[in-house]
Amino acid sequence: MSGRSAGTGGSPFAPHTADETAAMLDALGVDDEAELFDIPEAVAFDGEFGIPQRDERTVRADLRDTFARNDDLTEFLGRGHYSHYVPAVVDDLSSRSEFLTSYTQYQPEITQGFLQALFEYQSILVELTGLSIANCSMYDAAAALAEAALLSDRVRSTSGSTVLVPEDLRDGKRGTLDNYVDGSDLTVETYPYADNTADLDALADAVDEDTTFVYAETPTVTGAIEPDLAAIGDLADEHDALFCVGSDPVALSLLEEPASVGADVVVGEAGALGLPASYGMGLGLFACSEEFLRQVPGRLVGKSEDADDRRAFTLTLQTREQHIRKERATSNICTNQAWVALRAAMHAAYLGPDGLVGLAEDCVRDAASVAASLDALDGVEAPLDDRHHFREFTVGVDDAPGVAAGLEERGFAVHVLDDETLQVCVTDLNVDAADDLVAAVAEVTA
Amino acid sequence: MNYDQARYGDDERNEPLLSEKDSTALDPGEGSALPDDLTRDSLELPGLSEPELARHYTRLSQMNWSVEAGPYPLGSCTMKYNPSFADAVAADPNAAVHPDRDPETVQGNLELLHGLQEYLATIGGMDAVTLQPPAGAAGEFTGIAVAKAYHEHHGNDKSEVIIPASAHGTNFATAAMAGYDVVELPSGEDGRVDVEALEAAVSEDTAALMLTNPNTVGLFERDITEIADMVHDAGGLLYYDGANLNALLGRARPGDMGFDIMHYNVHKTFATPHGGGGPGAGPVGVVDELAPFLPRPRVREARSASNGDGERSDPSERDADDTATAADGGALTGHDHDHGHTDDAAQDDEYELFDPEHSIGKVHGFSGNWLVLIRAYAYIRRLGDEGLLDASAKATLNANYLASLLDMEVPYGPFHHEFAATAGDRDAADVAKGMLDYGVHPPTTKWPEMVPEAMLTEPTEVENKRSLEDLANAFNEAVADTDEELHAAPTKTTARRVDQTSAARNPRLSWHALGEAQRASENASGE
Ligand SMILES: Cc1ncc(COP(=O)(O)O)c(C=O)c1O
Repeated sequence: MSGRSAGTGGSPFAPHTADETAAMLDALGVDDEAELFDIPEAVAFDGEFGIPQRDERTVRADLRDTFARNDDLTEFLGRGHYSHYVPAVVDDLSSRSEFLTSYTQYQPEITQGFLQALFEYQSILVELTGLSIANCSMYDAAAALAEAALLSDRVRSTSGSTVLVPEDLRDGKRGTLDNYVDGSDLTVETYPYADNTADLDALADAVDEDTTFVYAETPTVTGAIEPDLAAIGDLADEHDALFCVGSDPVALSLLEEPASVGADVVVGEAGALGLPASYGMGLGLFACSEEFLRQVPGRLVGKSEDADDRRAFTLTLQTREQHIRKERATSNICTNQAWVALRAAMHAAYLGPDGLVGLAEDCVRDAASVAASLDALDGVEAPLDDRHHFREFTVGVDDAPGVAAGLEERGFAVHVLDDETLQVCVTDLNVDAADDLVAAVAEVTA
Repeated sequence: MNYDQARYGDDERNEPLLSEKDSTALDPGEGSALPDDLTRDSLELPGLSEPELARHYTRLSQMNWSVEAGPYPLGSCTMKYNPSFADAVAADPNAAVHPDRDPETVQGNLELLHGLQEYLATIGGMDAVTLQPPAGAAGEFTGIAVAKAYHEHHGNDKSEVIIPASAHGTNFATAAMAGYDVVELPSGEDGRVDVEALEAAVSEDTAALMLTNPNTVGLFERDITEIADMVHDAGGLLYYDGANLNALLGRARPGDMGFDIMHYNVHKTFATPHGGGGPGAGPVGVVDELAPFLPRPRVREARSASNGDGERSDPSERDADDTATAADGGALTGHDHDHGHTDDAAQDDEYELFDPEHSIGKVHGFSGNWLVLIRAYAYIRRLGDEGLLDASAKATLNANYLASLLDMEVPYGPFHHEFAATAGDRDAADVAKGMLDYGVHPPTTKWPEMVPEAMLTEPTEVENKRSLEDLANAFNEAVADTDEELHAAPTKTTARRVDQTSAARNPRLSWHALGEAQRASENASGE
């Protein structure tokens, strides 16, 4: 291998032999690559970052050691980042380099495979939401919510400028929304929750002619299934506000179809399918009704025909996008989460409708049964509301931080919401450890 | 080169859709633990057995071009080879944790994030870095939001962002999203910023100038120091679009050129896979003065061991911009002293999260595209100083060598890692379709507009001499083809020329829409 860049401390991924490099330099009439650079002396850098080159094995070993510093805890964590068991075949197929190392389908003729996969992803979301358009991804649920609010600003002819969101919203969603609307005329206001879902009376008071967007979640951030979606949709509709529902594809397999309760837009975390726990990396679900076709943010794949009149897919309606419309684009998004969308579609197709519904049903039953077990303990109350739950629920204890610390010592991670409230999320990945969790809570609270 | 892309299917279509392989309808509410009014009435989706699924997606993958299949010289996109070891590192099960974990229990993650913050700061010549933005455009948005917060904090009344006409579309869209008026700067005759035009454009209204360097035709902005002074003198900030950083690795740093804010496009410069359109990551670096405005939380080394009363560290030891924080979502035991975690754990801590003092807040639900950030960190560690310097050397050598072989004019130079050739009196988009039949991916076409019929080409460092010669051959053959030949191209790809007009005029965006179209035509023929 002598003569390769790698052998001389260069980039191991620059394949030039020394002879090739010499021949290329010679052809260009220069002695070395530095002569090709047109960088004024005043701003030139000497190349010394102080980062040593390491071989592959060393890097892998170092990083294995780094990650081994994470404590091995059984996580009962959710609140917007959910993971379910992802079958090995999804890892395998999605990791094929033909998918992983390709990019946006600017040349549809040579990227039919990915285009079709994205078209299938869009179609699955259309079925789950009941809305007729789904884009091929936003960054995450927070960005999708923020983009939906901006959409309302573009499509509502009314003078309204208030975006209404639940008071109990994940900080990451609220914070991202606040930043996205900062450059628009919109202002964000909240409506209260009662019993961990929308307080319908208070919401009715809050909605007025200035309201342009109403956002409701099901399940909510504490896992409660929203019982009043249709009524919320009616409120929004009466005031000509856009109604946006936040959910995820597993919950949508079982819960009321958003279109049937009047949703104009559905957003959420589609990485609940296909994505293992990944420290918050997500997949922004974005679907909306047909009337907003020209105002959708992000990429859309459509069906067309090729010169032989065979079916073909292509990115379409691109005049909405930044590379054509520049400052008048519907969004600044370019690179999205396509590969995660591919995985979500694979996972959905692997499960099929019965698998999806079964998984969703387990999310309901397991949450109820673990809550009941906790509730049976002295000094523990679960859930803290009268709702049905999906995956997660709140738990009342005397000293929540203390209980959580005790659980951590015993190998479990749960959420602490305040001094007296914990939150526990149960999925197929941790349900087998739920009895142990309950026993640990009993021990710690005793 | 002999080349034929895989094609499955028949005269009508390629590989059938999932929905054409299976479609099962059921009533999800039936037998549910939930009351009827909370459940949906029907769900109709495909479900495939594992062997069928494997075959479906393997076929789709074979109908798709990729870096591992061959040259992918999309200008401005830096389609490098994505090393396998970085994928392996990112798949470490110990890294697969929930974002609400107590920071004390995910010290490995924090160590990596902190290390990457430091690497990126050094490479860009910046003082502080956030890893939260999930792509380049999100990085731009974060950076401009930081600039806006900074101006507001100082009572500066600013309304405009200046952007060269040759800039990427995301720059314009970002500035508009942040609520700024866009002032478009025409290119100078030499393809660089026209300093006189800039002087005329800069005013006390200027919040920022967004630039990339080398610019989108690969030219270094030689007057960068003068440009920076001009913007700074007017009280504006200088934003660096990091899409072209690959050309500068180890040779120049945005921070040294006077840039105040930059984003790093890690899926370009640091070789993380583009994933068919994402995920990427767009960390943002800033100079000290802007650090207090970065998104929250950031990672830092724990300042001191606990002092015994649950206080994490003496606030007086902290930078002015640092304040302790509890992670969002009520992480276990929290990270603030109210939750009274044990001193033992605190003493073992090396890294902690903190909220910058005047933080703009959040730009992502959690902390960004973690699996991408891991790969970038691994790549930088693998290459080290010599590897990074060689990457910019070979990227620039490759672009220059490739251009020297083309029967096409390259109007602007000297260029670095990319160049914009002109297809002259040929349609660049047609030439690109012609190139598809030679077993290569064509370059970015018709952008930037300053070059007529532009073919913006960035071979990156991963092609060798032979492969560049094959690529040059594809360019030269295609540009020499007759108009008829180009219009008939491509013929060897899975699909032949795709009808864009039909797709946009009659949008069919899901298999549901195909069904409707089909039913409609069946009805029509039945009448
Ligand atoms: C010059 C330039 N700026 C910004 C971007 C946007 O980056 P991203 O696609 O990661 O959002 C790109 C990439 O496509 C680019 O080429």
